[in-house]
Amino acid sequence: MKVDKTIAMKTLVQYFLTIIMIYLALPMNGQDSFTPVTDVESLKNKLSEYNSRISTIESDFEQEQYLSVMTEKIFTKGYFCFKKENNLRWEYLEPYTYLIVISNEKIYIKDEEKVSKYDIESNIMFKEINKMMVGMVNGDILNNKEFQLSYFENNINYRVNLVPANKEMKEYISTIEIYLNKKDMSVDEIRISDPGGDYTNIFFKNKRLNQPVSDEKFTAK
Amino acid sequence: MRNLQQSNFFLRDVGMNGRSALLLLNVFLIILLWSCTPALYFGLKKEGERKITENEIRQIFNNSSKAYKFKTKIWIYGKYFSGVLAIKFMENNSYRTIFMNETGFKIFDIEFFPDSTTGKPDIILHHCLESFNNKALINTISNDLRLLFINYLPASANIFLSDKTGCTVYRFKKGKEHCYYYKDNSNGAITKIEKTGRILKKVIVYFKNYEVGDPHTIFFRHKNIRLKIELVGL
Repeated sequence: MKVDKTIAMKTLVQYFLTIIMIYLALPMNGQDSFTPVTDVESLKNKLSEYNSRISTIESDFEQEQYLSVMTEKIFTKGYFCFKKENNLRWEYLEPYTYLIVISNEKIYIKDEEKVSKYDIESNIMFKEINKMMVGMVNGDILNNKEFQLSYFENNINYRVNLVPANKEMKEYISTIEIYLNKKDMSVDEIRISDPGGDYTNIFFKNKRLNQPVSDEKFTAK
Repeated sequence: MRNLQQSNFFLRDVGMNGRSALLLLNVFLIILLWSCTPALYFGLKKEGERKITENEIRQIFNNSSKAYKFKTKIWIYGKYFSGVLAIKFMENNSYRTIFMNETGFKIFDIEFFPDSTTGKPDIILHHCLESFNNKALINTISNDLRLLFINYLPASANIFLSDKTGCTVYRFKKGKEHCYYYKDNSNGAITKIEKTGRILKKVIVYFKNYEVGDPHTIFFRHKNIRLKIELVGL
């Protein structure tokens, strides 16, 4: 009876060890083990098909910022909304409020109660922000010649790596990684790394595709 | 002298004699100096100079393992910047301060060291966006932030007692400047810092709403340049 108990205990320990090992092995088969995409044309076609059928996207997002010298990450949460052709709302809700709206060739920035309005065409920086933010959503960024692109995949995601080609952008960004969900080609995650090795991860949650979105969303309210 | 003669001439013209003119000029000078907020501390009783004992002045960033994060607003000569400032005490006795915009792009990254006596630089600018990289601006902001690092203060200070507020006031000499640290005796918290030149106040820092020993709001107000900085804890 005593021997049986020992065997049972050993089996139980082995069982839990197996679970732990499977759990530890999972990321190796999932997020981390990306291999280069062999058929890039097929991926581009899928993306182009996705972009043609999408008219609106709404999503919540969670952002975590990693700064190598700090022990803690900086977490923010917000709401994101896109409507074709070129309307975007990027809103931080926690722990501070900050709003960026791109609409009709204008960028509105609302910091608490202060609203600033800029012409996208008047400022090269805003032009780039617009190209990047809208381009990441509608897929145009893949045709942007200011980035060198490479494509990877695993079971769940395609990963598109973008490396800026121009000097000005290299000051801010070393790479942008866009994780596309293989099921519907929507963006699951974006990682933006800076030249110092720090990075920002943005995770998109509760995605709503092609739902009616009022034009009110694209004002600084 | 010539100006004085000119003003006397002007005053004679409007029917005043020399003595009244001089009196008026003195009154005018007193008003002028008063309006410039002179660094005179009438309400302070001097207790003398002595070494500061360990923990006599509580650190503003009390928890050395914590990264302090503040929503930050900067108003400078009509321009406005906002973002997030992170401050962290490092193992090598330095403070690392990283200012980034709300979306996460780094604007500057400055590392502070104790005041150098060997000519070594007391800050290292690890990163700064080209559009923000103005020597005067970086120096001013660095000097402001340095006021917050209590463990970098000189070992001894002149001690005063404030009649009005019941605070203990520590005056530290740093080169040609003096820094006054106001400590609330009821809870040991720093409530205000003033930095002065030879005569005039240069910067006042207010601390509000302490939460678990940490200030929730820190407000820098410059007296001689149009610069205000507000830090609100996140």
